[in-house]
Amino acid sequence: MTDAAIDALPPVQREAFERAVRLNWWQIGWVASIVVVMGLAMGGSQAMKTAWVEDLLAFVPPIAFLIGARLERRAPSAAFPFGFGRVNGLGFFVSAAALFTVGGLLLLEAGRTLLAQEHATVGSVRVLGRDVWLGWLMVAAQAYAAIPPLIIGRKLLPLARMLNDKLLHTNALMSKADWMTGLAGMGGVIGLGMGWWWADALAAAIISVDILHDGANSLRAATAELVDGAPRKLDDAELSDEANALHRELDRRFPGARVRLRETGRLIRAEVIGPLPAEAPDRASLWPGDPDQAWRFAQLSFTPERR
Amino acid sequence: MERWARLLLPLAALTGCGDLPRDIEGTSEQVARTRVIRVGVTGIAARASEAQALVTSLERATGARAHVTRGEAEPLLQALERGELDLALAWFDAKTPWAKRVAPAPALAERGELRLRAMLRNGENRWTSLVERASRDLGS
Repeated sequence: MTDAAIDALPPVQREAFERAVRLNWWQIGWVASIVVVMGLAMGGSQAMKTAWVEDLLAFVPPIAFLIGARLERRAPSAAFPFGFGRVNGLGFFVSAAALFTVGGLLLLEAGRTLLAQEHATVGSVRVLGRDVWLGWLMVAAQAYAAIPPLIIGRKLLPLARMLNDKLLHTNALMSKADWMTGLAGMGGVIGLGMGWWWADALAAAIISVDILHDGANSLRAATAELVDGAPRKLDDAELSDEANALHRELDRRFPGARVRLRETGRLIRAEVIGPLPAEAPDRASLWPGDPDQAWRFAQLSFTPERR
Repeated sequence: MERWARLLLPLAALTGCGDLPRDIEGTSEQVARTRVIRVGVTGIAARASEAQALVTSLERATGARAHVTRGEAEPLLQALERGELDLALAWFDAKTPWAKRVAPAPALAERGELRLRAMLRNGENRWTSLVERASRDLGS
């Protein structure tokens, strides 16, 4: 026991955390291979270049998670007396910003193409003596780019729920954005092949709205966490039901006191301002929600009312 | 699994028909219908045997006859953008900024930093693929 942030996790969650670390390493490997394949197939297509930049941004959530995971193993020090539990929250903010940027880039690029009525040229390449329409290679690259995020995103979601890890959840949303953009890109290239210059941009614009919505929600929740807002839901910027229930329970147990809740990474911390209790209450007995999630209630402190 | 099948089926159907890509503004169909390829060429490029060979090769591939307009490079490229020409042949700098406004086909010949090549209207992807193939055959 080093008092590192990671020690707050019970064994089941600890195991889920280690699984998430491995999954994020795998993800970095896959994203790197996608960036190479898309880079080779993008040719002169602006839409493919945008898709490629988005694939680069897909590095942000797994890298942020792995940096956080490394720091969370460190014990508190004189320079960081509270340890590194909030690195996860910072990573959440950075990932949310990356997700929002992906949606924004996609929408701007689609808007630009539609406004300029840009007729994209996708010519041919000679492969092994045969002339192949570059569009088919782009479709193949987009298909390749869509499959790993589809699988990894599905694997990340249950871990994010088990750990109540919003950074992992944002990573899953980024994966969703990636595979949806991949499918839209495939549709767009085939549409272009049919002679519909607007197909690619229209598909991208529709999908960008969904990504921007996810990105804005994540950004709101991440900002709330960084400015000591009340705990938010895992998948939304609304107040968390569990935290609301805990608030009510603390109000009931300490009448006349003022209760403040905030969230640091995966953990909830409560401050009760008012008369000090005669004896320290048992934290686990105060948690009103699922007992398997009681570990999240990491700190209960009492502050005397200012006179 | 079912979802994947639903996504891939139309794709397979499209691959089967081999009709892709098509032109956004229908250059290939127009050449087939009118039996005319509207070629713009600069004076210097017109003297290059490679340029003549490309036009002959395209005439043979499409069964159409070339209607050649002589002019300066930039007016020809503007006419190409407006859809008044099907291709423009000239010597261009290897890094010509026109490569964004029109689509460059592979070079037919090189002279220092200059490339003799056909420029095509953007988005005419079937026509572009045909001219690219003919240019590659001559270039190699």
